[in-house]
Amino acid sequence: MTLTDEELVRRVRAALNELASGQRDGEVGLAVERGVSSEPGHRGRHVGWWAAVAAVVAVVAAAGYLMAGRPGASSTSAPVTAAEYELNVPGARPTDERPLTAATLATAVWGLDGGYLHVAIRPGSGARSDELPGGGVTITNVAGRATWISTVEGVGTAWWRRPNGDLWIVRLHHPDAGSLSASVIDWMQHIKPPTQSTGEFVLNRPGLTLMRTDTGGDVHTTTRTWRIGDAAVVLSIASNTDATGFANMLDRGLPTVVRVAGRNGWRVEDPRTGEVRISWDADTDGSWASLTIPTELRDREVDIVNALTTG
Amino acid sequence: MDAVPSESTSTLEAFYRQFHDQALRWAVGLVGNREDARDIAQDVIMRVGVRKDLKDPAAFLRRSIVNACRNWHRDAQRRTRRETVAGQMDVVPDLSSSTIELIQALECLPYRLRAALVLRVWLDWPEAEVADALGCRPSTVRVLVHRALRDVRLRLVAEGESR
Repeated sequence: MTLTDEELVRRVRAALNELASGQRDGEVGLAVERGVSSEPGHRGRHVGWWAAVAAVVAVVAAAGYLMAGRPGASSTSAPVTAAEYELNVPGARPTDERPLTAATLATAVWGLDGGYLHVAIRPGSGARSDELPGGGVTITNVAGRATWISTVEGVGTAWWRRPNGDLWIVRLHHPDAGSLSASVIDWMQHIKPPTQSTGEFVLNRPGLTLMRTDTGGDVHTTTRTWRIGDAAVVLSIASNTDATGFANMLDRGLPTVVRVAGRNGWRVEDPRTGEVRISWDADTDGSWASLTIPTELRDREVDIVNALTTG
Repeated sequence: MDAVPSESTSTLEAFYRQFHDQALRWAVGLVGNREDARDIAQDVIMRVGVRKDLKDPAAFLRRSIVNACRNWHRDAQRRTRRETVAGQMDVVPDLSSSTIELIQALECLPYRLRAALVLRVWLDWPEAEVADALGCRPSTVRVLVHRALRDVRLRLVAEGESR
C-alpha cells in the first residue's frame, strides 16, 4: 500500500468534509471556509419544510410506532447489524466493514404543531464544570441557570447547566421559535429525563407528542459499504440512537416517505452535496439505519433502494 | 425572558452569526467529533463575543478555538488512555469506514501535528495564521504538516497491512 502526499491530502480533506457535513443544523457545512458570511448558506433549506415535519409526525403515528417496544425494549433477539443486508445491484462490490462503539447522549424528540422540540443531555464532568458564560439572555431558577442563545432562522437553542453539572441542550425547530421562547423555558423545566423505572423522557405538556427517546450510553454501529464503480453506497446501523438519528434527519432537510428493505423510511436530500440519505427504524429496539447514496449514483437511486434486502 | 435584547446581547448575536459556523468547522477538525466541537465553539464564541477590547477579534477567535481544542485533548488524555480515545468517536453512526479510519489516524497524532494538518491542509489557512494560532514560526508549520502527513501515512499503511 503506497500513499502519495496528494492522495493522502485528498483523503484527509474528504474525511473531514464528511465529518463536518453531517453536522446537525448544517452548522459546519459551509462551502466557503475563509471569509465571513453573516448568513449561513444552509439556512434556506429550512424554509417551507415545517409542514413536512408535521407530516413526519403523522406518518410515525399512523405507523403505530410511537415508542412501540421502547423504552428499554429488551429484545431477546440479536441486534440488527449491517451485515444482514445485501445490495443486489449489478457491479456492487462489498468492501471492508468495521464495527464501532461510541457514546451517545440521552436524547428525545417531541413533535408539536409546525415543528419539533429536541433535547440532549451531556453528562457533567469535572473538566466542564464551569458555568456557561453569560452574554445572551439568562434566566435563573431553582434548578440552575439557563442561557438562551439567539434564535436563528427558526431554531431556538437553550443551554441549561443543571446543578449536578449536566448540560441540557434544548432546541426548538419552529418558524415561530422567536416568539415561543417562554414556552421552551416552561417545557425545559418540566422535562423529566430517563430513569431506571421510566426508561424514557417524560414531558406532560399539551400539544407535545413524544416521538423518540434515547437513554444515552454506548452505541454499537456496524457499516456495510458497496462500491459501484468509483462511488460507494454506505449502510450504517446504530443501536440505541434512533432519537438522535431522527432529529439529525429532520435537521437535514425536507423528508419524504419511502419504502426500503420492507419498512417505511424517510428520504432526505442534502441540498449542498446532492447526496441522498434514506433512514429507517431497523428494529423496535432503537436501532437506526441510514443508507447514503452519493451524487454520482443518483440516477440509480431507485434501483439501489429496491435492491437492498435483509435476510 | 422575551424582554431583552441588550446592546451586549445584540453584539454577541452579531458575532455569533458572523463567526459561529466557521468556528464550529475549525473545532470539528481539531477534536474530531461533532458534539464536543459544538460545545467548544459555543463556549469560545460566548467568551470572545462579549470582548470589546480586541483589535482583531477574528485572529483572537482562531487562537482561542485552537487553544480550547488543545485543552480538550489534554482533558481527554487525562480521562482515559490514548489508545482508548483513538478507538472511540462521539455519535458518528453515519460515517463511511474510510473516514472512520482516517479520523482514527488523526486521533493518534500529537495535537500540534494534528492542528497544523487540519488548519493548513483542510481549512487552508495561510501559514502565517496557522503559525499565529500555534505560537510558532511559519517555517515550522511546514515541518509540522510534513510530519503529520508522514505519521498518518504510516498508520494507514499499517492498518491496511494488518487486514
